Amino acid sequence: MSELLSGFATVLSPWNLLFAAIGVTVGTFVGVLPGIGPALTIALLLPITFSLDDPVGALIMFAGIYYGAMYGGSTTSILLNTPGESASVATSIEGYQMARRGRAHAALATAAIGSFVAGTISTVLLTLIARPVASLATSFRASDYFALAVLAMVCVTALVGSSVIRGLLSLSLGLFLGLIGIDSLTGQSRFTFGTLELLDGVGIVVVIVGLFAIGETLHVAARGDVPATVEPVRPTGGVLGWLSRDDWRRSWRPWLRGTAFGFPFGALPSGGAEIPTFLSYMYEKHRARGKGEFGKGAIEGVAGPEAANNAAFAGVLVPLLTLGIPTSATAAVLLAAFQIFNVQPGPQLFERSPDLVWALIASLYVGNVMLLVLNLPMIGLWVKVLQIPRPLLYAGILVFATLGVYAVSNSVVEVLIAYAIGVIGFFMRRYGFPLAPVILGVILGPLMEEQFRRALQIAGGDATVFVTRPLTVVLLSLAVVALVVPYLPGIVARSRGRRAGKLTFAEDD
Amino acid sequence: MRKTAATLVAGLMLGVAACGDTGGGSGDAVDYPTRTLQIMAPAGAGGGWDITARTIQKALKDGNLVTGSVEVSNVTGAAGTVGLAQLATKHKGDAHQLMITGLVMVGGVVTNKSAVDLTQTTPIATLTAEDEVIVVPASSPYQTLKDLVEAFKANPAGIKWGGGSAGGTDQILVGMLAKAAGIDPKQMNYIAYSGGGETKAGLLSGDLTAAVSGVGEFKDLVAGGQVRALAVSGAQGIDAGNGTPATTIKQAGYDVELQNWRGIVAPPGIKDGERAAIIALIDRLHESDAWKQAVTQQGWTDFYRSGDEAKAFYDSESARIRDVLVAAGVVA
Amino acid sequence: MPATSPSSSPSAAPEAETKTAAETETETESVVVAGIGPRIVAAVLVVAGGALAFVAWGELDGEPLAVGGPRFAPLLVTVLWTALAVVYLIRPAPVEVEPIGDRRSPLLLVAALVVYVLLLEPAGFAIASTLFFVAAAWILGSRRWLRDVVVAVPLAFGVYFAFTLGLDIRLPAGVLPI
Repeated sequence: MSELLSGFATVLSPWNLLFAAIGVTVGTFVGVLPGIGPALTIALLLPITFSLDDPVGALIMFAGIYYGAMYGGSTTSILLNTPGESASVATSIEGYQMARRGRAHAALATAAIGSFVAGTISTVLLTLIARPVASLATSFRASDYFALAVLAMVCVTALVGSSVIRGLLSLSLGLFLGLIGIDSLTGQSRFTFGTLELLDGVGIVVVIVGLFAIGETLHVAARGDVPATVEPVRPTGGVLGWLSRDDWRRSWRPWLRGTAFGFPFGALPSGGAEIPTFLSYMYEKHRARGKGEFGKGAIEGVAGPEAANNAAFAGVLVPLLTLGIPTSATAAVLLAAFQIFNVQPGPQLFERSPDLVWALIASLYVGNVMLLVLNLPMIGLWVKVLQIPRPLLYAGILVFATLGVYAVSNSVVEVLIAYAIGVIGFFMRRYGFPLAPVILGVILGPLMEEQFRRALQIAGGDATVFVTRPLTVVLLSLAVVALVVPYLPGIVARSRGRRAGKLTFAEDD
Repeated sequence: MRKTAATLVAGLMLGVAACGDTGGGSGDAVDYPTRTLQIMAPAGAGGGWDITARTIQKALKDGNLVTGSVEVSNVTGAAGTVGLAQLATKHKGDAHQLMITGLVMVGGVVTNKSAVDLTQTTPIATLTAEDEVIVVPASSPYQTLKDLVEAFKANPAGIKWGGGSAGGTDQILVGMLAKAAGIDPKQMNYIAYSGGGETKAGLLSGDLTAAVSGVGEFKDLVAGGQVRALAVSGAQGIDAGNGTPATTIKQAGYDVELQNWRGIVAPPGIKDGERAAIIALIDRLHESDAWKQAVTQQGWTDFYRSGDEAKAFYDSESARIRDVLVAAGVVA
Repeated sequence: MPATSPSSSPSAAPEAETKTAAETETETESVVVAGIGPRIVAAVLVVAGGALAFVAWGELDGEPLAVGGPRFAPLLVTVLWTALAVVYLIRPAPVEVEPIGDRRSPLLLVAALVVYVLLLEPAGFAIASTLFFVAAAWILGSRRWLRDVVVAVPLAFGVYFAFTLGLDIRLPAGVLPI
């Protein structure tokens, strides 16, 4: 505890607070741009920090960038239905519906406050239980990861939407996109059609920018008769201005539950921030069953996923700091940053560089507060984005979408791939195919396949590995339960001789 | 001759673009660079090649080795072969476009069946290198590399080796080790992970018997006693984390030496004078304090060869790595 | 489907007049497409899935199909895709779509995008983006050229310099000596 306090003493200098403010601002800005996320930004800022003698300032700035970028990403998801990062896709589902109904202020506020709450709680967890969580996380073997991926897949299948068949077709598209490129286990190329550009696969950024930013713009263009702007409903006052009493009441539980999803998933090697956001969304939707507001802008569907993606960051730091294992792109860049300052994350880190670690942890608290302080007042300004005349707004989105893909890859071909996916996204919107399953397929598909084959390879081809290892068996059984439970009420009711409304996975509206 | 060509180019640039920056070549025999120097990192921002490129950029500026600007661009894809293809086609003959490369690209050219290989570029220099390390969990029965390789011989498929992506440095090393020990590399059970971090998790969870990665990756776990370093892959034993130099694979009795090196190349089709000028610039970079300081800060090992020596090294590595990958069955 | 039931077609309901602008905008009358559209989509999906399954089969290259190998998942996914598409072709589920107001604009936009990205390297980011921005705004219904140019130029050049100078990301300079 005294260590943490001395960490705060380090961080709370005017100079470092300035770094935190810069970080949050830069982060929010790049987060708003489609495709350009925290990992790239931090990587680009790394050389600048070479010349700093004291790594603390740089680390504080990086933490600020991460939190800022996560929040910035949710801003565009909510206002324009154009998430720039995979972790914001779940937010866009309800968030955009809220904005369309003039509730953009409330959506942005619940995202900001939820991020703060989740960030703070998960940082506390990081402070207290980093070590035990890390050793638990590294006990996961390949077969366990496979089982976990199956469980996650089953839990979020409900994202398939109103038509099961269309949802599954969307999922197939995502799974197919995830297969393109070099097979990571054998180095064989798949669906590359002899081109070098496809060897690395179609990046998730390209898919998201195409499907959402480009697809949405084409969709808007086809609607033709859209009004020039959407007039947001003025907030009616309330505790912090933007959230009504009812919004608070409905938000706080999803914040906490989102945190509970985000932190452990972040801590798992090959976990990441996307899966918990989808799990949180599904869980909130499940709980709200029957109230019928999901799909039309339910605040719970924004509060939960936003909390989850922020909580995941502190989770990601657990294996990074205690074992030197990066579990996300941003973490990998942070690891590079540590090494430049001659700090090797790992079991020795807490003994060897306690000042730095505790300063970093303290800077997470500070970055969180900074995010809230800077961004809550900004909400009014962000919502003004909606008052930009539509032609200019969407022309700008297309320029930034192109820029985002090109800046990362320097490749015209990748941009053309994003456009092609955009055209697919347009037709999916027109013919009622849900978009989220595509993202799910791209993320979970490779994870499932890779871990399944790796587990087989480790077991020497013996498939019994999936039924003999206790953790694997437990996770797979949970998956089966999750698959069956939604049908249970119907089955039970039928066995009692009553006709009950059948509750299916595809329940919607 | 060299001077006239360079002056001509400089004059041309001045005339055409009217943004004359003729570099700081006073007194030197060469006039290079005469305009913005472009360094391509054929991978994403934040990786080893990118950091190398940006370190060069910074050292060139800090050491006042060039007065014009130096820009870094990232071309991602396929172990650098996408960048390599661009260098050989789009930038052919452009002496102001350099590219970072390394052992990983040599392997990538083979595994990705790239149409362009490194011998088609103009090698300038090799810069840095990192040793590989072979580690086992602390609880492993294998105390030395010999123990491990004996068990490997007795049951080649029983040892689960883990490391980076298929066809990468780590798998190349295991393949070489198998060959040196008289085991058919095709029989090895190599489990590929997407990076050092995942490999680490695989070793700690008990999925793997042994793991191979860059020395830096496992240093802290070795120091913390969670894993045991059996051998390093360079010519000299270096500290793998526990404070004393680890044995090399050669010392353990297997004729294998492999380092994950990085270097810099120019496009094909540049003039001899330009090549000499670039080599001279990189020579001066290597001598500069700014570079030396950066190398220390990054924890890199100096591995400098330039000019013809670099060319010979690039050629021999290309041939050697192809042989190993073919023997290991990664490529036909 | 709900779109035809009174409860969920609010624009036809009497209380529509009391709705805010935002709400009316979101609930433009949907139409149920049960005609030829979904079937064409399904047919395209069948053909695409089949072609990809064929490619996946070709990539096997005569090797035996192993569950733990790299060729299993591609076949599994593409065959599944094709099967689902066939089911959808036979029984396309009805779908609600907003009436299409404009067929020309999306096509023009796609064409503009392709020209934009092809111009990016030869003409440079700033010029290509300025031209594209103005063109895209026109396609999307703006008829105020001057305003669009006044917005486009600072946007394109501002982004160019922010990226090249601020973030050190190289963007093509193209024909401009910048």
